[in-house]
Amino acid sequence: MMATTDSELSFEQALEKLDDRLKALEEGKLSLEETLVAVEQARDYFRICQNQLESAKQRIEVRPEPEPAVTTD
Amino acid sequence: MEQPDTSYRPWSVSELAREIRSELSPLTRVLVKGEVSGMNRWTSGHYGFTVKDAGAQIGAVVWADTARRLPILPEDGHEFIFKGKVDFWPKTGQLRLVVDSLEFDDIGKMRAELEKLKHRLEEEGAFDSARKRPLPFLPRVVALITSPTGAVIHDLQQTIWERFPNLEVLVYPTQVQGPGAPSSVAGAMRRCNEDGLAEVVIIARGGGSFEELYGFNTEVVVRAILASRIPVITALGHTSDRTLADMVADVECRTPTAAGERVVPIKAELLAMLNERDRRVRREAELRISALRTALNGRRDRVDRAGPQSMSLREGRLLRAWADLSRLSPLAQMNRRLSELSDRRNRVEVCATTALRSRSLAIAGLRAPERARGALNQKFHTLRLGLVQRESRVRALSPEAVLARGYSITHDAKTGAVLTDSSQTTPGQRIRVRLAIGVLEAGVLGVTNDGND
Repeated sequence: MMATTDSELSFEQALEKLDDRLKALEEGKLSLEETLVAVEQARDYFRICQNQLESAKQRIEVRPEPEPAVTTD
Repeated sequence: MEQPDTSYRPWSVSELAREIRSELSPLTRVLVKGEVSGMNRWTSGHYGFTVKDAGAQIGAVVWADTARRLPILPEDGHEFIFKGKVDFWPKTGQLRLVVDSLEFDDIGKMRAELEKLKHRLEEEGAFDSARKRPLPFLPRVVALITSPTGAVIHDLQQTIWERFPNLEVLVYPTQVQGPGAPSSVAGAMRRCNEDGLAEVVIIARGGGSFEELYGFNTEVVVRAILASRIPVITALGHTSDRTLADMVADVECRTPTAAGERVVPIKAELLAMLNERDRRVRREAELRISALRTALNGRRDRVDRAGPQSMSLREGRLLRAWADLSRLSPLAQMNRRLSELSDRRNRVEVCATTALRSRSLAIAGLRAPERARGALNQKFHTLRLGLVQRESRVRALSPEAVLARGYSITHDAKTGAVLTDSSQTTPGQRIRVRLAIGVLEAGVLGVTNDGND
């Protein structure tokens, strides 16, 4: 159901798509089949958003200069 | 020191040199203003240059140690106020100003040059808001270009992790003041882009004077920011002046904390936002299901006749999708646990009920042959009864039964044909009369045609 590119969506993009589906659902004009699809898609986008929030790790890394700075004349 | 007798013995050069040095002692704390020329970095790391005005010039030196703590270095063509002492080099016979600290004397001139650079950048469109990139809504990795020793890094790290505990921070340590700052900051910007790990860069320092922030007004830093593919935020502290770096940055903040707040959303808020969406989707799904159910109820019989599975299958899918959705919601986790528990309890109950039912079925199974036999007997009995009834009915209809009531059957003895008409016989003909019991062999004595006789 979910396109492969959807997994590369940013949090913001996935949230936007989730809101799209939500809006369609709330308008109440969907057929049963469309409601099913919208709910499933909303579920997928919800999962993407959640993954985005949880995927990162708390980490600090120092990336030092490769050599001491040489002052230019 | 013993005063040499000038009239009798000349001073050696060394003695003169020593004398000059000692006579220079009142000049150990001088303030002198002059323009720099011939700025040169020696291999030893020290800086040599000439300070001059319209009528005089003097050699000057900045020791490497001193240079490291200075916010700025002398630059050709600029006027500075130098603080230091005058010293004499006996070996070379040179008199030099040993600079301990310096400050711009020609800030007005510096500002004019800054204005010139600013004007040039403005014409290039470097400050256009259209050129500025939006910050990512939720960066996965944030880069910090700052001094590794200051409080800035601590403040930023704290702000970021308070808002979003699981976020990756890359620190590119740089000099944020002093003569090395411009190339250090520009180099860090370049490395950050080469690494391509961060989604946003914060350049930070804890404020400072115009001179201390000098590096952020240099073209090399401005160009590095402009060349960055990654959006850049400046956070150079509370200062009266905006630097050129601030002006070309995609977003400009005052403090590192403000930058942290600008870059990193609060995770709890995002989660709350997501959960709110989750609730709404589930509510809509519920509403839709109940609406469908109402609609279905009216037509259930017809629908059931038409295709009972398809409707309940769809309803089942919708319920499943909704259940999946609720399973994902962190807020629903507790409910899920509870419902899992009650699910388990139900399953245990179902198992128990099933077990009980199968036991009672097994017990019933033990009685089955007996019951079958009973049923069979019943059947035999019915069949037998039917047979007896049929037998008596057949018997009632059979010729034998008629004969038993006194009738007889007469056959032609020769042909065996049954005789029903007296005219079929002639006197003397042999006949056979069949009675209920036994047969009479007889002959016809006479024939009459009157049946009533």
